[in-house]
Amino acid sequence: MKTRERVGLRQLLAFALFYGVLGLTAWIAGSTAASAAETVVFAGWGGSIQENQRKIFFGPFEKATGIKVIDVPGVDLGKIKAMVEAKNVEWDVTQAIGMWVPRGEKEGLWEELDYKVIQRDGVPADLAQKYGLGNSTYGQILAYNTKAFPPGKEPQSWADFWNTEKFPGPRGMFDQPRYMLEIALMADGVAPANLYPLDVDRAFRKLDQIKPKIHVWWKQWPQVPTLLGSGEIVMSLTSNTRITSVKKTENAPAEICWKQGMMTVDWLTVPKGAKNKTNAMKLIDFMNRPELQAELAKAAGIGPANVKALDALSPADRENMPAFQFQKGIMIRFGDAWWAENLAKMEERWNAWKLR
Amino acid sequence: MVRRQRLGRRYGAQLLVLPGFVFLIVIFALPILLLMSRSLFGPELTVAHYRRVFEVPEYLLVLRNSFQISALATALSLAAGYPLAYVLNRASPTWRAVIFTLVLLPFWTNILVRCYAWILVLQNRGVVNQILVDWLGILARPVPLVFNFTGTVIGMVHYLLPPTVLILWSVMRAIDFRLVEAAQGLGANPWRAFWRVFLPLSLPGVRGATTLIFILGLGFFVTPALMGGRREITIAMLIDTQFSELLNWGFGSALAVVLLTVTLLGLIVYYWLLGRAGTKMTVV
Amino acid sequence: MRAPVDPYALGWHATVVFAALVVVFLVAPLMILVPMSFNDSSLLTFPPQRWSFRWYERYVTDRAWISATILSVQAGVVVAAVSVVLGTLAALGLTRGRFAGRALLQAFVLSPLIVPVIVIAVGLYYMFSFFRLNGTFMALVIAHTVLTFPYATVVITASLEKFDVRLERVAMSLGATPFTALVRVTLPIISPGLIVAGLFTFLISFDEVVLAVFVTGPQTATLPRKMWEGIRFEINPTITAVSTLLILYAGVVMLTCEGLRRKLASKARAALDADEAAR
Repeated sequence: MKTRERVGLRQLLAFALFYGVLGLTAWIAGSTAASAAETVVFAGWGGSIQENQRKIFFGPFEKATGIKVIDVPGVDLGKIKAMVEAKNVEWDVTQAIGMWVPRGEKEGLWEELDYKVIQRDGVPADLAQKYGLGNSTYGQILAYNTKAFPPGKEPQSWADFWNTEKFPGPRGMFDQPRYMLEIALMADGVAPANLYPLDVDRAFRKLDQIKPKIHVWWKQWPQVPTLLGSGEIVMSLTSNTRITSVKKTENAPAEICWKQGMMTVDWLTVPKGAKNKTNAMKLIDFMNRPELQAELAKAAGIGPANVKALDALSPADRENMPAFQFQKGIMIRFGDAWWAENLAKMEERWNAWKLR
Repeated sequence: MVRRQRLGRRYGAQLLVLPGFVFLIVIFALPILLLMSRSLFGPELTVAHYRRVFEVPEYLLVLRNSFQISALATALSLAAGYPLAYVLNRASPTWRAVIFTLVLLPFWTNILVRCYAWILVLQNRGVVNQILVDWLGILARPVPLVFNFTGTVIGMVHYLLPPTVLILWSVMRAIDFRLVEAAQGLGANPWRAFWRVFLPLSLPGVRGATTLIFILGLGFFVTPALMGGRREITIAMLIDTQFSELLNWGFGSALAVVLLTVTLLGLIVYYWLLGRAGTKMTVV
Repeated sequence: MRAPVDPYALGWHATVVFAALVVVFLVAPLMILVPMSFNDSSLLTFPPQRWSFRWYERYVTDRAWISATILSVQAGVVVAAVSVVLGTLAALGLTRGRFAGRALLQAFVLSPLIVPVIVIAVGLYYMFSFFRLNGTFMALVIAHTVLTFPYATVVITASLEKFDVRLERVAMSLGATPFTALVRVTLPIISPGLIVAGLFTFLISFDEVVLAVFVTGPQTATLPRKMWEGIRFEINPTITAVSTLLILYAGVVMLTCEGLRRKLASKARAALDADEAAR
């Protein structure tokens, strides 16, 4: 009597056939390439920002040039690196935060921008770089709950964030070293103009003071308006656009303190090996038009990088623009270059500091 | 004809596993090995990455914390899940369907959405504290239930419970309840019958479930990030940061290799101890 | 005189109450989601101050959300099917065979569960680029199967171990080939395990985020990926509407399955009774 299982050869052939067909289908499915007319693929942040970009930039671009813009959300530096290394770059224009430009440069992830096609006048010199063009400006500012701090009692600097006697209430802190080291130094009395290179030890000593008083170490930017609005925290760093929009649409009790804020820049970059390089340059040039950037500023509160755009705004709108506050000297420029060099070390030190 | 039988008999079982095995080798093992090999390059051949993992004390600390928090979440899931699986097992078909549906419901919800929902329930201005402080007035100040260790454990257990219950239930299902009834017929009271008959029969499944759930728990990076405080850093979070933000694939791979190795060693020790205790050494 | 309290019945009732509390724990955050989905505010605050259907409108009118949902369901079904097939084969081989290195093979089959998902994602990305599979449906299915195949194997192994092999031998001694015995005896008996494996793997695939973000393209956006994007840079409350709809859908599907199962069971019973009566 057979005491072990056995599998007949016929059944084996059946399995092999099944998997063979599966493999063949995969191959065929993979190799059907979609042929298209002229296109350019834009990878951005998604959400309402990208919706506005579609209305203001991509739609008109398509009409003006006949080149179709495929815009996708979820731009991610890790994915860009994977694409470039695998020599299969799916994105032509990518929205990059400040630190990504020098980091990507070190890893060879970007194409050089073609300034013959891209007209850079109106863009400040340090925002038109070899591998990236500044496109929008944001302000990383102190935001506070107006119910906890009514007018007359509001915080006016980062030292006030540290002052829990005069300004009581739970704090929120961005769970990353960047921005945090800067605000610690400013709270400790360092003049904003003298921040870089950062005195890291001094910053961490100051941070030790506030460490036990932080209620939420938030990781995701959209958390802050919700936390502030409900009063779960009363003060936190956040970006100005989030507060402006939530004040406008929800009448949330939140307000911005521009003083000692840091201006950050979003860049447009082209991954190395992009399939539609020429169209990418054209799109970047189009997105640099001052009148369009002014429209975006009015629609979404996103600051333009092109200073000519500021002229097209009303004085009231201009007050809300980080670039304007920066011009006035109230805000400072965030040091992307320093951070690109030191991010890994700071991350390590930040985690070690948190664990103690 | 005899030849074919002998071939089938000798290699039958292996051939069955072959498709899955080949699939994993090509789709999983090869790419992962290639990626892991990067841990040895930085860019020239070096052990600098591994040295950093062991020299900077925080990484081993985070590794230990990750194991501890996963162990705690697993233990709690087991404690909560076993009775539920037992009730599920003994329930009438209608109730079973209802409970089954309810247990699986969280599965249909995205992990991020679940976390945010929990935050709404647990935060100082959340549902629980509103009830305790504002409505019932039992407490003067809100209880910190989230953005700390408690919140992380709650979030993790909430995610791990459904799989725990499922696996335990499918194991219990195979236990012949007539054995328990026989024990009672021989004079044991219901508790004794459960403790001496049902429970031991379910233990192999419990061990398998524990292993699986524990390993799942090691991979959490969304829940501790959103629901934890400053000390709730898991190794998966670190690895994710290295890969996504810092582009340090070499170092990230080194961390992943260390995690893998420690987990494998832990599993080997676990099963060796079980083997010593005289139980069957199988996957489940 | 009052009847003495039966401590064992009490114990049983206590267990049931405990189990009920656990279920409440599981369902609690979902109960929050439902009213939140009718919250007019775009901030996630509770309790809602104003009510509206706007997030449902958003979901139903936005083609991207609908197609993402459909895609996730399609992928989930295919992944479940492939995983259960592969898992059954592997489980059969691992529980029946007595070959060298069996324990090692078992460990290998489980290994995708130990490797961090982000590592798998990056590794797979390379592989798919090589075969130009990135952004395709096949890539998504393959990626998810890597994660779900070990689960399916574990669950089906558990069922197989409790299965009495002698039933199969009896069938074969009555003249069935091993394959027929497998299909007509073993599989039906372990079918609860197969169904659990299938459901489990479907849900894992349906809910999976990290791999989806990496290997999908604009044409193959899954629902979790869309939700992830809708929450990373700004919290889009449409996700609460989507989640509520999914919960409703899940409830309906599962209870329908139960209803079908009961009908089939009663039909079978009726057939047996008729058979008996006819004798």
